[in-house]
Amino acid sequence: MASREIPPKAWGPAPAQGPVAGGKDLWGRFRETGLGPLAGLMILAIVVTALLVPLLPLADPIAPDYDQVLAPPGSGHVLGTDLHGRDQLSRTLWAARTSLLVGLVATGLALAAGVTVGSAAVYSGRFIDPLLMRAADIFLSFPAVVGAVAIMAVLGPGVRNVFLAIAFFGWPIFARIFRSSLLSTKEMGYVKAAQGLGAGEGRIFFVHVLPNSISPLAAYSALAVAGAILAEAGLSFINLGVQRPHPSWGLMLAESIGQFDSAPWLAIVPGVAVTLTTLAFILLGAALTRAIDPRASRTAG
Amino acid sequence: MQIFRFILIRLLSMLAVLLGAVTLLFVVIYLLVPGDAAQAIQGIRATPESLENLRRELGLDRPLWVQYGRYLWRLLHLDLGTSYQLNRSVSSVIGDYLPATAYLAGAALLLESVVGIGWGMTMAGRRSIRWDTASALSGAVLMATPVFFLGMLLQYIFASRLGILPLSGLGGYNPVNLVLPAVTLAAGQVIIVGALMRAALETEMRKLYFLAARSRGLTHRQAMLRHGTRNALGPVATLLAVDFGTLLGGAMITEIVFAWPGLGRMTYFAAQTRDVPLVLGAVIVMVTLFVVLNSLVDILYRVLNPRLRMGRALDG
Amino acid sequence: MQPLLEVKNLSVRHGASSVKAAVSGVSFALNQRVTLGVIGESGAGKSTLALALAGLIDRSASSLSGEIFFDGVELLALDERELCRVRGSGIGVVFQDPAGSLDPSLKVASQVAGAVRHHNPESIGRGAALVEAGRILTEMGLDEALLASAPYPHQLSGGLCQRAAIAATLACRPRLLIADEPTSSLDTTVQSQIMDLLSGRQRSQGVAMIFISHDLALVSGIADRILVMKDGCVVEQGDASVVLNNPVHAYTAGLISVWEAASRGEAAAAGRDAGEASRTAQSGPLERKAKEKTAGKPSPILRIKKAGKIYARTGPVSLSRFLRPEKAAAEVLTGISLSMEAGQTLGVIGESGAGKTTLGRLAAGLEEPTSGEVELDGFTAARIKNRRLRARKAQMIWQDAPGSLDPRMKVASIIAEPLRVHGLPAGSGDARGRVYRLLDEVGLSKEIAGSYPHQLSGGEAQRVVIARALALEPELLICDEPASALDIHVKMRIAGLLERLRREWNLALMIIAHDLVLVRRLADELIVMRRGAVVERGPAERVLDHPAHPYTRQLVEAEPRLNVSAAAG
Repeated sequence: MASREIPPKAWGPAPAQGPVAGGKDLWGRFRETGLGPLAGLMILAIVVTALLVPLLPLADPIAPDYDQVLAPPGSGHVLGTDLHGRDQLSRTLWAARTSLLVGLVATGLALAAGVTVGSAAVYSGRFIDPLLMRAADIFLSFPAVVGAVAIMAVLGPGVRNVFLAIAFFGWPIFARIFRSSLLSTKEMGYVKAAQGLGAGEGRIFFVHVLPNSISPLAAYSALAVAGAILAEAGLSFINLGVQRPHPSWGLMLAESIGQFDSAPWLAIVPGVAVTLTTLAFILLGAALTRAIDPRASRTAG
Repeated sequence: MQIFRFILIRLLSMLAVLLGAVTLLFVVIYLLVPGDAAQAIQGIRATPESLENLRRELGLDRPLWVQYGRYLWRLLHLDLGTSYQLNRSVSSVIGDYLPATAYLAGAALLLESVVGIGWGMTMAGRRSIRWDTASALSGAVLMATPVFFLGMLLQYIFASRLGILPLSGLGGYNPVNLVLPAVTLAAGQVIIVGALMRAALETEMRKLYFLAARSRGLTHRQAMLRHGTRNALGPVATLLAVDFGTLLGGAMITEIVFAWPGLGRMTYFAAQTRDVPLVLGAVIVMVTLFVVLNSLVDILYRVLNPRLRMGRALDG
Repeated sequence: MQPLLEVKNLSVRHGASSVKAAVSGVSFALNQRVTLGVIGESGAGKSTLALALAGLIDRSASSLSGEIFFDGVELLALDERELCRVRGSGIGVVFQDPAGSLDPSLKVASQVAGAVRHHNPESIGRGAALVEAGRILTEMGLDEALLASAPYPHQLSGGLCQRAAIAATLACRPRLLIADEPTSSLDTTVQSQIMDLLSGRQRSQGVAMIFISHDLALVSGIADRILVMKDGCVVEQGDASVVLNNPVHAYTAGLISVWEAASRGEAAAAGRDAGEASRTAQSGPLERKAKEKTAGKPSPILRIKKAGKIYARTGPVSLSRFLRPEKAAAEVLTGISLSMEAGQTLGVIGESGAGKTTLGRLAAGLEEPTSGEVELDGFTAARIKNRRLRARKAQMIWQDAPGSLDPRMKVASIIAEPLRVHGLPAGSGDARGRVYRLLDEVGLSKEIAGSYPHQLSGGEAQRVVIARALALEPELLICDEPASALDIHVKMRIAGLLERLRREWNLALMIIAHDLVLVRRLADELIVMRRGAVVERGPAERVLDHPAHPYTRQLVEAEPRLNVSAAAG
């Protein structure tokens, strides 16, 4: 379900023997399959819509209207109404704001914490490093949703707690990725060469190590946003996330249980919305992974 | 001897991680929660006396380290507390629901490994931008679909419309009941396993030993079966172990959609009624299962992989 | 007699769009029991030719044309299934990277046994195949006791891995053996053992062999016939003695003269060094901070006294390491002493693992000795710790030149980086002028300043590294294998450049190398290292011509010599 652990390298079939990726630059590989730009456009459209929602002439997403219960999609309501007569289009669009907010904030928090811990592990010496990594192991020992459910059960439902719960168990992967990226960059010839030139630790880190280490994080971040959006939908679905009567895709799907035969739009509209949004971020992550794949870039020389 | 040392160290670190995990839960419950656990457990039903009783019962009036010690001591005796709602020991409640979840997660794991690895082996080495794009897109769609939405769609198609599979899992461990929940649970993971298997195989195919094996007269297929697969399975097995955790989490929601009488559905109801001991008990059990399985796969990987099992190079 | 292999007008083109063919219009014939040496520099298409002959080119990604007749059968007309029958039992290949050509997770013996079983007409059992594999491996110098203690490829050194790979190839009983640079990644003494093994097997089993190498000296020692390749084309072929003694084509003649010069330690072709000289005349030396230094003080720039270096083994912290620290340490250098003066060139030779690189890093002040002293221009270790001071005294030229350039920086900012680090005039037009002068100094054009490292050739990358080191006007330049990955022409030109810089900048040069070509060309003094200690030292000529220590003798003798009077097959 929600928040699948997506190994950063597992996705995007790498080119086999053929020189397909050879000689192309970053942008060239990003748009190679055409899915990268597609994902970019989808995300742009979703973000712009979410930002514009308060300005759009939409029906009230919360106030019930019992004259319009379960109206099918069509004239009055483009996407129909739900059990309380609320406009589905309006609720779906308002829910997009929640989803994106949770996805971006939770990923941002996890990213910040992960980068901090990852660099601390690399630069604080042989004794702190294993401690921090074991701490990461402990957090990773909570299967994705299970940990979040525990936190939500204890802290109580609510949007703020949702992104805390997701970030709480999300940072270790960022920390691990960043740590291993830093470690391998630190061993590169050009880092040793910079030491030989007399450059200080600070310059070496900011000029050589950091810029050459962050790209794996970019790809994983996009996948993590997708995971967080799915996690929010999942938590709301089991009534631990966004609370009624506020709109959320997961909640809308939960409310549609048992109505699929009579009112399929109740499930299909929010289901498609969450799938498309998640899809956009997954495709972005896959295209970024492909673009920065070191094997592909190596052949460019 | 090296290998026994490794196993010992790995098991010790497994215990350390478990200790860390339950400690983390302790910290979350007792330190991060506004108010105290008694309040959290009883919620709005609390009266001053019942709160006082519960505090004494839980030992909340004792110093923190005593509470922590008692918490560990009880865990060590498999005492997970008493369910507030059911008024039964949490361990026995979990014992009732665990087999159904194990059955479902096991079936999904089997499904995803067989289909995923098979798909990865079929796709490996085939190159066509159009095919890649199509399969990447359909895979991504499958991954992006929330389990509960997929479950509803499958229910609608196969149960309501076609009527060939039962709608819900209630009604015993009949394999027919298992099909829809297991497929739902495994669907997204199959793609990840398949993609990793394919990528791992293609990495192996680019290595020189693969070319060398072909230069000795093996066909591409023979080289893949005799050499490539053996080396590619390592990372895939590790992924499958990690995936088991995702399956446990996914099971929670699949079980709700399909009314599957497992641990996840039980946790859901416990969370609705804020039965904190029951939720935490279930979480501890799932974490333990997950950590133990991962350690076993790690150990197995090490035992089966000569590069990690044996020492370094010999000169001469 | 019909030749075993006959190639007619073979061309290979990678990718549909690429204009240049990797191999174009190659024709030759090869008889039974004959060894054909294929020589050419990197990019000449040698490896592509090898893969094409073995039918290992991916036909969906590359296009092949022409004809290859092996034993009368046209290989290019065969489909994949039929090709599989030719590969192995007809044509066997030995690759360059020995460790990489073995499956890491299978025991060496069972890999060889697999090859035995695959090609045995009557199916033989697993046990019998293992016995046969053991026999073949023993012939290759891998006896059962050795393989019992170290059954997996990662436990074997490069030389032993190559023996195992040859065993697996010969277990298929090929009639033609293609060896593609089989010794390029090995130490010289190991190389000569593998060469003996290959030529011995070739003779005793009566197979034909195609031996591919960039090393003319190596080829001249083993080949009956020689085929010279350049840019995918054959420029010359014929009997080894004829080609080597009376080359028809100018390229071959040039190649031979470079190798002859290299083996005598002379400057390469006269014209090239003249080019170096005239360039200097135009540019003139940079403003030297201490030109007067040449006149005065005879004090040494580098003095190392009884330096030793012990590395703690890296790895996770563990209890046993804490309790027994001495077991976890590896001694890399023991009691090394040496001193260098301005304008002097010191060569350091020895095989991999001898501690040469560590010595270089100590000399550059990048590491401190565990025992003993390192003095750089009179400053002891405590002062050398000041990284700015240390960097302006001694600079290092790195072994992997392309890898020591940050892939995200352009050449101009790479060369300007030391100026920026040391607060020298930078970021202004003046800095750009300096970058251009440094580029000119190492024989590169201004246009290259806007390139990224991956756009440079190996030789260009090495020159950029040298220019970057020169920016700080160091007094000591330590070159760690400065040209080991480069073709002989480029290598000799880099040597010429270093020689000129030493002369004009009055630099002290330390040349660390595992092969003798550079050292013979550049070094005045020589030290020979083995297992962290100096086994012999003295004037370069004396040490190379009259080695006193048996190990030095072994090194010198193992070096392939250009064998002009190669016997015709």
